[in-house]
Amino acid sequence: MKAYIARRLLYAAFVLLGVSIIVFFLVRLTGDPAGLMMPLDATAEDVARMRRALGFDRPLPIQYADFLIRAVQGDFGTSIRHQQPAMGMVLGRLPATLQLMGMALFVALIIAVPLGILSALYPNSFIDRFGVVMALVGQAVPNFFLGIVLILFFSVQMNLLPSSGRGGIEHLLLPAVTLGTASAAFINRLLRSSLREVLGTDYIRTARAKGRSRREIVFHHALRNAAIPVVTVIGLQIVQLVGGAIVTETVFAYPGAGLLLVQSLGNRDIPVIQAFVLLIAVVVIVVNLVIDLLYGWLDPRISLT
Amino acid sequence: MASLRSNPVALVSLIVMVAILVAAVAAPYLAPYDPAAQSLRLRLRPPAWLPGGEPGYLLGTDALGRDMLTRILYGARVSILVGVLAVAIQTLIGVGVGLIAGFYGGAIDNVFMRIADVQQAIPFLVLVVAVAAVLGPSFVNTVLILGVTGWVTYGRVVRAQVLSLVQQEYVTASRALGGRDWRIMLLHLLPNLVAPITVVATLTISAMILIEASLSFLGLGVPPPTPTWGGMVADGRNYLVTAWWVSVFPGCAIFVTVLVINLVGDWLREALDPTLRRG
Repeated sequence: MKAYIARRLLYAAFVLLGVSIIVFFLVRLTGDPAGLMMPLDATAEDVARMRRALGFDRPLPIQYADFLIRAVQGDFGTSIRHQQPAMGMVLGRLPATLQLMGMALFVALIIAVPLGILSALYPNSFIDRFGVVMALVGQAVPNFFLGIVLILFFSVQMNLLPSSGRGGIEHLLLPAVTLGTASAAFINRLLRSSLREVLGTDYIRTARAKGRSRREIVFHHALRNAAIPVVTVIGLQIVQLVGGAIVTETVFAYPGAGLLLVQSLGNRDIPVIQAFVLLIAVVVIVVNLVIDLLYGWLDPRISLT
Repeated sequence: MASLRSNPVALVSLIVMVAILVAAVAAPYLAPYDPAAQSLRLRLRPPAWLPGGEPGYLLGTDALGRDMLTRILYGARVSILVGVLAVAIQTLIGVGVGLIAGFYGGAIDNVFMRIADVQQAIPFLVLVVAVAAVLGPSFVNTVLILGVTGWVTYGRVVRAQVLSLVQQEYVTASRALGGRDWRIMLLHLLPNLVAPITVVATLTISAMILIEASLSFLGLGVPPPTPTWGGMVADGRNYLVTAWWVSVFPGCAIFVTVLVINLVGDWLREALDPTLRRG
């Protein structure tokens, strides 16, 4: 187990190194990183001075080494617009985004799990068909549009919930539903097919023959095995949620890291964009690591050696 | 194709999809107005059937008095063209990488798959918006960014297929007869990859349309004055209370287009590979 964790950590470090190369070259895509960091009306001399000041005139490998050493120390440079450390700005906004993502995942699971279980127990029933329609709609509606429709109904028409900002749970509800719907649709269908497969296995028939109640069979015997593919997918869904959070936070003017990213994109505030991409990659890698370790707990047959 | 008759949902989806395609291609002939034609007198007019609606403007007008229907028709061109071109580039890169990685295995395979791992650690939309912000918004950049960054799924699908195909006897036979590597890849492996690639491509076109819409919504896609569905939804955000139609109609256009492509894609998957039928 320890060796497995060590190997996974080493691999995570390797992936992170790869991400750092992408982030490093991101600024150099146009061939002129100094020009990117200057206002559009900067003179050629100003850009040249900036290039020397920031060390962009040195050989690339040296620039990368320098970037990496500073990145490890959490130094991604200073936000061009706000004159604050870029990583600090993103970190400051991260809790709000994680809260939104957590709530979205909670909403997704609270819809998807009961619906998935009922759909598996009663195939082709009304609730199963409802699940199919929800899956189709959830995968086809862009989340910024879903957010706008929710605002139209719950904020504009009924005046029930606030349409923007951050505060209590009422501020979180609409964004979380917006962000979580696609995941709910997906998890529901996956849980249904996975649970149906498990319910057809021999050990379930044995449990039934022993006279166990249906409730016991589903919750004690079947669900744990059916959860394995679902847990894998939740990992992938969290990656999706990060992308969705950018758009959702924009729609609801929710002051998280995603909104900061969008504002930085508009200002071409490259250090902040770099810090965001790298930080999100860390989050993704950690989530995947945790999920790998969860397998062992869910299914002792998967040996983590 | 016989399964189409027994599958009314797929049939209707296919018809709607073709209709959207025709509307996109024939937009200049179908659209009642010029997509850029503004009118100060006709700003934010509701759809024709609502009180205050102007008879000639079926879906109403936006904040600059431009006809919504016209702009939605023209917006279809951007969405579909970006979707198709991006998927074409992804397929080219993904199939190339997957073929080479699966066929040669070893170090080449390792390098490609590790690159895929690294790329997947960055959420697709995050990578795409970051690159778009650096390169600046334009039609060509949008297509290139989506095309070049989106190859990973294809690469993995093709590689997995190739890994099992190279074990087949006809590949061994071709090799024994002195067939060159490229000949085996193009003549023996590629034809077997057409079905899975078609399925992945259909389902990715809709994903790319969604991403393009998100990019345009964030102001990082094809820049104005070109009408894009995502950009139109964003324009309407300021008028939600007074003029809901400015956001809602283009949003519905995205939704319907993605929905029918997904339904057609699902049908194609079942038609092309009976083993993938849903339980």
